Amino acid sequence: MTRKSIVRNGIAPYQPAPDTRKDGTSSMSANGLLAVFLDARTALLRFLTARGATPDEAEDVLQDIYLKLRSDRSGPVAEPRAYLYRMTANQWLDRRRAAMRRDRREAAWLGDTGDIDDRPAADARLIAADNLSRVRAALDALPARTVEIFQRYRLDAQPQQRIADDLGISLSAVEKHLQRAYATVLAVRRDLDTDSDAQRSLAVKEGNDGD
Amino acid sequence: MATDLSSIETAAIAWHLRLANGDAATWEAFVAWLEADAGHAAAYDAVALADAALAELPAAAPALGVVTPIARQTSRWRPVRWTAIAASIAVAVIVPRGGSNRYEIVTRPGEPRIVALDSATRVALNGNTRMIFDRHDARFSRLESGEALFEVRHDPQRRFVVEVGDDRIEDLGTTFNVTRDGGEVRVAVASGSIVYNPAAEAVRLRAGQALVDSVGDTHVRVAIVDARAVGGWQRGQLRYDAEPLGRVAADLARAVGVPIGVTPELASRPFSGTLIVDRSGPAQLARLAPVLQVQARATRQGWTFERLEDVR
Repeated sequence: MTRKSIVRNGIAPYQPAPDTRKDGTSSMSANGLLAVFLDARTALLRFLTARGATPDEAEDVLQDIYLKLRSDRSGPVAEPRAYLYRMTANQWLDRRRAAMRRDRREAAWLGDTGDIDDRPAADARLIAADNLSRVRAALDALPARTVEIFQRYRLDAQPQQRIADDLGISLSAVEKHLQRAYATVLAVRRDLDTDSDAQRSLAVKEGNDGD
Repeated sequence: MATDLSSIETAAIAWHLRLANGDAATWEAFVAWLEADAGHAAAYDAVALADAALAELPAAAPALGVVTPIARQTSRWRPVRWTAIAASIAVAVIVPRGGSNRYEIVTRPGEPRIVALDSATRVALNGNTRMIFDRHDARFSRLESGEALFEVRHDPQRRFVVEVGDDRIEDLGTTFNVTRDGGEVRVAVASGSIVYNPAAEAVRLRAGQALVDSVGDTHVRVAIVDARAVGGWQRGQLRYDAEPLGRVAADLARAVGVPIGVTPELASRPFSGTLIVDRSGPAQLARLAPVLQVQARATRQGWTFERLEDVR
C-alpha cells in the first residue's frame, strides 16, 4: 500500500512525487493507472454503451472515474485494464441505483419511502424485511453445500478458486453452485417485482389515496 | 416459485461470476456478448442489480450472541454488568450457515447496539452502522460504514484488529472510536493506544489523539482531542473543534435516526461546540439548528440544513 505522509496539527510537510519510493522504484500508482485509463478510454466507452448508457451518461461516468484516479492513492494494480473495467462497471451500477431509488419499483424493494407514496416508514421497513426473508427462505431451501459456497463467495469475499481448494472440489463445481444460488435470488426478485407491480396497478385502479 | 431461467439469464449469471476475477480479455469478450443481442444487456442488468441489492437489504433475524441495546450510560468508564437480552429483540443480523464463520451486524438509524466479543471486549455500534465479525475469532472486526466505539481487552500475543476498507487499526490495549463515512476514516483514542495501518503509515495514536484519513487527501492528519470526549456519541454528546458542518450532519443523522442533507456551501463551514442529543427523535433538530447557525427543515426524504438567510 502506498504510504501517505502524516501531518500533525494540520501543518503539511513537503510532499514528494507520490509514485516514487525512497529506493527510486515506482509502482503502478495513480499516475500509471491514469495512463492506462486514457489508453483504454475508448474501450470503456464502448463497454458503457453496451450496458445501455447514453453518450452523455457514459461521458459523465468516465469523467467521474478520471477524477477518482487523479486523487487515488492505492498501490500497485496487477491487471490495470481489468481493474478499470470493474471500476467503470461499479461506477455505472452506483449511478443506476441512485437513479432507481427515484423509481417506484426499486424504492419499494429497498423499503425507501422517498416521495413515492405515503406509506409510512414502518410499513416500508416491513416490506424490506419481508423481501429479505423471502430471499433467505429461498436460499435456505437450497442444498447446504450451495448455501455454504454462496456465503463464502458473497459474505467472506473468497475467490472461487480458494473455495474450490478449501472444499476439495473443482472450480466448475463451485461455479455451478453459485449459478444456482444467483438463479434463485434472481427468480425471487422477479416474483416480488411482479407482485409489487400488480399491487400498484390494483391500487391505482382503486384510486388509492394512501392507506 | 419457479427458478427456471432462460438460457440468456443463465449466461448472464455465468458472465457475472466470470468477471469477478476476470482479466482484460474476459471483459472484452463480455462486451462482445453484450453487443450480440439486445436481450443480453437487459438480462445482465438484472443480475448486476440483484447482486448489488443483496448487499443493501436491511436484515431482520434473531439476535446472535450477546447483543444488547445501549442504555444511556452516565459514564463509560464505570464497569457495566452486561446482561443477555432475550433473542426476541429485533436486531439486524445476518446469520450465515455452512462453513462461513463471519456474520454481519447492521443497525438502523438512531438505534445503537453493543456487541460483546468476549468477556472484556465490547463494540458499541452507533445507529446506521454496518460491521462484520467472526464467530471463531474474537479479535477480528470490520467496519463497513458508520461508527463504532471499541473497548478492547489487551492481548499482546493477538492484537485486536479493526479493518476499515483497506485500512487497518490494531489495538495496543485501548478504548477508541472509529468512523467511516464515504471516503473518510476517523479514529480517536480515549485510552491506551492503537497503530493505524501498521504495514504502511504506521501512525501510533495515544489517548487524546485522533486522525482523519480521507480518500481525497495525500496526508493522514493527526490532531489532539479531549480524551474524555472520544466516543461521546454513546452518551449523547457530540463535540466538535472547527470541523465541517457536513461531518456534524452525518453524526447527527446517526444519532437522531433521519437522513440529513446539507447545502453544498454549508458543508465545509467549520463548527465548534458541543451538541447534546437525546432519544426524542428528529424534532430535536429544530432545537439544535440555532446552535449550528442553520435553518433545519423537514422534507419527505429527511431533513436539510440551510443558511439562515434563505428562510422565506
